[in-house]
Amino acid sequence: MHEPNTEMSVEMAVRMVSEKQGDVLMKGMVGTSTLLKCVLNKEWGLRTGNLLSHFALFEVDTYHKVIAVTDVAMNIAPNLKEKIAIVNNSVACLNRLGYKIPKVAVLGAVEMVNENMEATLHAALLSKMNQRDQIKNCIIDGPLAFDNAVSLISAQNKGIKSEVAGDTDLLLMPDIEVGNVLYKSLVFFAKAKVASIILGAQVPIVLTSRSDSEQAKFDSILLSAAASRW
Amino acid sequence: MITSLEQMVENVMALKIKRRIAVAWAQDSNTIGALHKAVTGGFAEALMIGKRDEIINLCHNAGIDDKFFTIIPSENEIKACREAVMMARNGEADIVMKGLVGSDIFLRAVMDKENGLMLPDAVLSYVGAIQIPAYHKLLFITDPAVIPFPDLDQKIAMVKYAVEMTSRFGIKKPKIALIGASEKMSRHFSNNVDYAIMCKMADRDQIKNCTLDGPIDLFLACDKKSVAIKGVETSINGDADVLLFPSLEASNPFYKGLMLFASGELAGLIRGTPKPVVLMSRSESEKSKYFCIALSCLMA
Repeated sequence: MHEPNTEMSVEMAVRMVSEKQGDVLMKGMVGTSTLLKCVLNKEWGLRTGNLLSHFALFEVDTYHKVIAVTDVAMNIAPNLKEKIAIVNNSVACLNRLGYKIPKVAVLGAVEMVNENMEATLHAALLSKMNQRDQIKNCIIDGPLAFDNAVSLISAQNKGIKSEVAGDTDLLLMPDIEVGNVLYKSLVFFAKAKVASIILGAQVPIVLTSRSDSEQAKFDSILLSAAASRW
Repeated sequence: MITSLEQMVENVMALKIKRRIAVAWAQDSNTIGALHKAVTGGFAEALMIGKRDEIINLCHNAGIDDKFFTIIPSENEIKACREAVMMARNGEADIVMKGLVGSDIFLRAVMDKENGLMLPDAVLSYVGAIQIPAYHKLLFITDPAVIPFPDLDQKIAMVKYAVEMTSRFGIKKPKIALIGASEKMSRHFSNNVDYAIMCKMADRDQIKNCTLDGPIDLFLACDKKSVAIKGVETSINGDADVLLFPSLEASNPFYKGLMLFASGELAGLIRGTPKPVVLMSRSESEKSKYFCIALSCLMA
């Protein structure tokens, strides 16, 4: 479809999805902000009322399964309400990917509750809301330090009793700085394969960086297809 | 495990230890009657600080031999309170008890920075054991008397005091219910934030030797049937040993309601002091005062 104007081409793509002629929205050679502005358009955008959040799935040789990480690219410093929305977006996606009750680790620098570290307080609240069935279809535990979250031996050494520790399906980041560094260190140092999408709109959005590898873009398309509503 | 206040008294008697109780402004008939029972019960010595003649008169009116008591004359309620606290500080008394003086005056002497009876940085709070026919065991509550709106650190201290007291009753891992209006987390109730944090701290062993859950309401805390009907998973499971209340406005009417309408009896104490402090309403019955004295002897 020929459309020489950047903004018009984005609008065209968004309109196609909202008219159900497309199942997934993907960003090409356009800035993220331009795309998101159209996604959030009140008349013909893809808003659902949910928060948009970034969801990344990693495959690393040193972990026994794939692991999802959120939010490493979109929400800067989510508050409690936003973290609840981010977890709900991600859990719904994991449910669609076949995880019945995904295990969610709320990441902190320590596994203890510390009044001076807000992330640990948020973790305690998210855990309790999960216990009370106010956040459904998952098991949440946190705070967990990264090692406790992904290594059963670490968790056992620390004497942590947790259904999540060592077997995490989803890591919830305290903020974008931690998330982004983790994401990039997994890719660069651990040679992880990654697929990522934006959740919270009517359809998954493939919003890979222009510098991402072709493999990452391909895997992200696969992920968007698997997470799609149809 | 001690399951009634009468049994608590028997346990105190069986200890065969006499505790010395300094009573501030002691000329009060209920107080004299309760202390007489404790002295004849063999677990207390009473050091009565107050108006000598009035104390002797009240003893005679009640048919009690004043020789049971050591009377320390004092003509001023503030000085009487200071004297009682001082006796505990110098090791002349094991317990301090409030007589016919207002709580504010009494507590001022207890909390005095230089001459009081406070541990440094300690949280002063109150824990009580309530006996009611409608519940299958003693129900401990905190704090019905001292802290208006406990913050997180104060709530954690309250849990610690409750654990210390229940362990003296032989309860190994008390079930502590953090009481709210509902079991759901709601941003309208700021206490829920503290409660969730405390639950996680208990998970991580930062709060020890107890089972904690909250927010939960009184039904889920004390009634198994409600737990089944509501289908809420809670480690308290209708079998709470301790109720921790979010505020004095919630806890105080709760305890008074039980006293007035549910045939309740209370034994309670101030915690946060190196020696037990017995503080109760002047209108409390002789029986409740006796139970409080026995409890203070158990905790001394």
